[in-house]
Amino acid sequence: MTIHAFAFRSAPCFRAAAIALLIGSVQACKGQPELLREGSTGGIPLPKDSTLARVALGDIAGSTRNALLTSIKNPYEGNTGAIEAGGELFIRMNCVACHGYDARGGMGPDLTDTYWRYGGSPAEIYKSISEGRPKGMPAWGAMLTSDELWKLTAYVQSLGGSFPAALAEQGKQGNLGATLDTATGVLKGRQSEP
Amino acid sequence: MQPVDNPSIRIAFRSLMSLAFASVAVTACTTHEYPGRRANDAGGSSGGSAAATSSTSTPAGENVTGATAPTGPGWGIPADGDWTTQGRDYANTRYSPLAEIDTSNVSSLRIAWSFNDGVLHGHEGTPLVANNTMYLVTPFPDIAYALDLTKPGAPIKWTYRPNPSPIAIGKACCDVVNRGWQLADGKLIYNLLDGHTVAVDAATGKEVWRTQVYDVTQGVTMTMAPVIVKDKVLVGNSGGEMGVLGSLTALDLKTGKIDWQATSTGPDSLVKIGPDFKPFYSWMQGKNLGETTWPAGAWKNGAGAVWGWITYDPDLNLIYAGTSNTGPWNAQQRPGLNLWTSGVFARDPDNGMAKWAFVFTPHNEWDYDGVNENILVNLPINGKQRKVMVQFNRNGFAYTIDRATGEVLVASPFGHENWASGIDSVTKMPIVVPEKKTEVPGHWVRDICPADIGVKDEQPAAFSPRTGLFYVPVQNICMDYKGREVSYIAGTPYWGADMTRHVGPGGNYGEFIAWNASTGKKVWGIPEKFLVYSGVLVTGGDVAFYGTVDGWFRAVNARTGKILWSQKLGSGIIGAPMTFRGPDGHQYVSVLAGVGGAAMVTKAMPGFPARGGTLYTFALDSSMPAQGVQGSQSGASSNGAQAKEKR
Amino acid sequence: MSLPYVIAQTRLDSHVPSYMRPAGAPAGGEAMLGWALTIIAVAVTVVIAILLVVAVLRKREDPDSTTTRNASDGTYRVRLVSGLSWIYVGLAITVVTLLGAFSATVVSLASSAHASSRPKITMDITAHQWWWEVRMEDSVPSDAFVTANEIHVPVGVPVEIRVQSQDVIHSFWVPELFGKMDVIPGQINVTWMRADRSGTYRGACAEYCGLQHAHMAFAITAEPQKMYDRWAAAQRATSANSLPPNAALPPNVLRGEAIFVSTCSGCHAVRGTNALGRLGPDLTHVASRQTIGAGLVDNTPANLMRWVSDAQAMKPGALMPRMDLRHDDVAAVVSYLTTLH
Repeated sequence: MTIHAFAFRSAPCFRAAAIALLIGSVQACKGQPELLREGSTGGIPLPKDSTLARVALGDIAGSTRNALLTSIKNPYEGNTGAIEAGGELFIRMNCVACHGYDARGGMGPDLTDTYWRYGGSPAEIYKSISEGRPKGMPAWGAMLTSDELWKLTAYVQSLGGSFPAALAEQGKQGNLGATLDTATGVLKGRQSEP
Repeated sequence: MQPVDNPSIRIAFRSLMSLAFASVAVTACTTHEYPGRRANDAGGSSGGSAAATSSTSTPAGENVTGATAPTGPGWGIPADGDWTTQGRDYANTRYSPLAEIDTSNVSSLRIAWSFNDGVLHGHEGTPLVANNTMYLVTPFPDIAYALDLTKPGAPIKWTYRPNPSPIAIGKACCDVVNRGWQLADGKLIYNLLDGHTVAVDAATGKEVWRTQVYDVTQGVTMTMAPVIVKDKVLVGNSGGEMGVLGSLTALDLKTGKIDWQATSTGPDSLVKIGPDFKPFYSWMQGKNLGETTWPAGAWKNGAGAVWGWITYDPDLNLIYAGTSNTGPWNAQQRPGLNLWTSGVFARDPDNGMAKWAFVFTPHNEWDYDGVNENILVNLPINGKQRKVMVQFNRNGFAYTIDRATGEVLVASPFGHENWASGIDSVTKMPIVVPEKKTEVPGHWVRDICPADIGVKDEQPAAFSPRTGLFYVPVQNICMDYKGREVSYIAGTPYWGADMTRHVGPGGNYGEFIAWNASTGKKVWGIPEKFLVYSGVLVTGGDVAFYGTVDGWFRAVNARTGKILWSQKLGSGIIGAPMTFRGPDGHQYVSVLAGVGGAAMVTKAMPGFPARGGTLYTFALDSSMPAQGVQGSQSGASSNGAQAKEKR
Repeated sequence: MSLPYVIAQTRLDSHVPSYMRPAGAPAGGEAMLGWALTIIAVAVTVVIAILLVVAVLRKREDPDSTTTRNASDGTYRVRLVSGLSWIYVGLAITVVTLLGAFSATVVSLASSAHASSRPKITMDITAHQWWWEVRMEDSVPSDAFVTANEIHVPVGVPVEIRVQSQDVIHSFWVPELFGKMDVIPGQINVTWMRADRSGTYRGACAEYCGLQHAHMAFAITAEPQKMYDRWAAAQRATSANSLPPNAALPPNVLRGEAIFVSTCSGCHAVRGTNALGRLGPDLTHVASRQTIGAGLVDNTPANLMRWVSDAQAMKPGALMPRMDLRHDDVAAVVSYLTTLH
């Protein structure tokens, strides 16, 4: 069977309701498709891959602080519909099998404590999921869209593990101080009961 | 198999532990008691005084007369003082005839020396001894050590670092353990977690060959102990939770080249079922049942991993290897009997062809693997002497099976189970209690006993030909279970279950029992507060050794079940103890202490020990090697050698 | 629904399903019952209308003719009209008719609730937002197979239908074959059908279930047993170009398979490959289907291109995301999908 040339142009309207099911509401039509940014769905602008690429895994030589850790925001942070959708992906993509239905770990690390080798800022979480990590964490960037990855990131953020992006630098320095419950390794007041 | 804590990111070396222990050891033989402990066990370990044990000359307990371990040149039985394969012999009796340590003097056991391997993961497996050298392999990164027993303190002779792929850490379901290594043909042979088998020159520690058997990126790992039969190295895969295709592979002992491979599921050609295949029961007879008892194609991800123990009968020329749980756990996704998972195969080791099979838990809905050791013994059953194999299955039933035909002779519960009301007298299938079926979509099924890790997991039992009894570590653990739909995504778990576990009736997680496999009855038992997840050793001195997950190492009178001696070690014990005769002619007992593996399912218990990785070797007080002045003098040079080794 | 509308509908183009034109059981029995009740209702209406007209037309009787004066005391007494006894007759007819209709309804519904003979085929239908997963059961587990949205059945063979939901409440309905069966999460409801005539019968979700409720169609094709067997055998087979890779396939198809397995396998299955996802429809034989998107558009390469690159533009809200794929990758995936007959 021959394949027709790719002559399709996105329908101008309707597309904006893309994630309606997942976030539980119908999005209004946001206009022409070319207004949408790279990788976005439903008209919600997502951080660009090129920006994410500048987020380093380690600390930066010369001790420059990486401002991207705090400046790159998860567009879905705190969005209950997106967190719910991310939680569904957390089950459906088998994350639960390693990290646990309660995210307290198992084959993989606990996601509710503060000991995060690869960082807990939204950009770092996103990159850990997207790129995978060497001790068996698969890379999901090929299978999940950036929209889905940000929703998963929102869910992981909602578990209360690691620390807020605002504390990313203190976390790197090991200066969480009194905010850390030293018996459990969890930030005080952030224990969640998933 | 089940998820457990995997704190690979929290490495904290505890290298001074053995030093600290030396002083503790002398005084540590004290009683420990807890609620639920049987009254007559309490007195057994009072103080360290040998006088207390004089009462062990009590009348002999129950014996099974006529029960014998197979003997003969083909059974792989090493010299009395050696221990060269994990199960000590092809029958996996874990019985040593050494008798210097006996019921009358075992209470004077003391630590002779210890060795910390620096790896903080679950330490399963048994140290091996041959040619006055002890061989030891750590959990991931699977480092091999040879220890020189002729020198005080057993310094390192050589170290072999295979550097397996770290990806394997995230693909191993239940800690990154290694369940055993073997000596054969002058080589130390073992599996790496990342799907390779290696052979190392036992004298020099140089790699002889390394073969990739499985693909770790597909979630396939290797944890089991290879078994060497004739010129073949038999290995199997792990990954019952990763949707693997379970298989048993034979490698050439000289070269490591793959000779044959037999899968646990799929068409007869892959499973290596031919015209000679004669299962005893009719429901296992038919063509391509490993394919037709599954939804189309599901056998390819149906697990049946071969991660347990392999035994060998040289007289019948048959090997016995169990198959793991069925994948995924969620049984709703795989209607059918799901053969040949959760069962056992008898195969011809020369070509892998199956002779018979028996499936313990068809359409397994509870993760009851069939991989536990099949101990080969000769037993009187209903007045007739039979060649049998005995398996203490995860599903809670102990099976005594005719090892020539696969006929089930005895099957009865050896611990607490409530998922089956019994075993059908004709088909030998379990009679499942309907309320304990887990196929109900999206509903919690409460209080299923045992939990996924079973009434007994892989920790091997032992058999004494002197008493005719089996000595079995038992778990008393139950679960609440909810099946969940799951997609197979290569390299991620293929699981489909949400669960919580709790202790079974009585409140004791563990028990150590003696079992009569002729009648299917428990003879005696010692309840333990924590899991009994160690293997067992039984000796010619009628002493049985086992350990607990909270770190107690105990010696028991094999005839009466009386605790004669207990020693608290640095971490929980999930390895299997062994005994050997040292270059000084005295008997030693060794065991690894390093909690991990499936025992981590109870890590939330108060008092659960921290990780460790120490080998302890014990000797009688009277035969303790002179370690004082002489040890430190000659130790100077050996310490230097050690330092050089470590750079 | 008014009678003229129903009558009008039955005359419409045959592609529009109507429960008044059954093609099998239990729809046949239910339609017959419907017709019978309609005829009775019409007859009653006609009779009453005639009587009404007669009553209107008939002149009112002279009151004198219905009363008699008692000559002795001068009082009037109303004389019983002999026609009044007809009320009892009418009441009796009504009672008999209603009872008859009631018992006929009960009997006929009861008899249509179960197949007259043991169903030979069992199909499990799982409703998803917004498509139908179909699993044709078999006594040999490996002969069971999974497909989506388009089902074939043999003519004249009773089929047991078990319905369950993955998410919200739906309703499974093919008007020409059987009545609505609600699909309730956490519960398995059972109905049955038997197609007596060959043909393709359209079904739809009959319970509002969200944004794309209207695009949750499916079709049941009834065909002679032999044709059905051929279809079932083809569906049962693993994908034609399953592992090991068939080198004879065009490189674009092989590249498409590789992209599919790495990108789409989290949700979709193509049996015989490493793609075994269960979130979306099984695509092992997707090229054998007539439509994509649960009856949304015809299954053509051009529509597949649109669908794979941006399903959200075609079916907003569906779980299928807008893929971050390059156009040539989409083309490769589509060329692969079109080989999956």
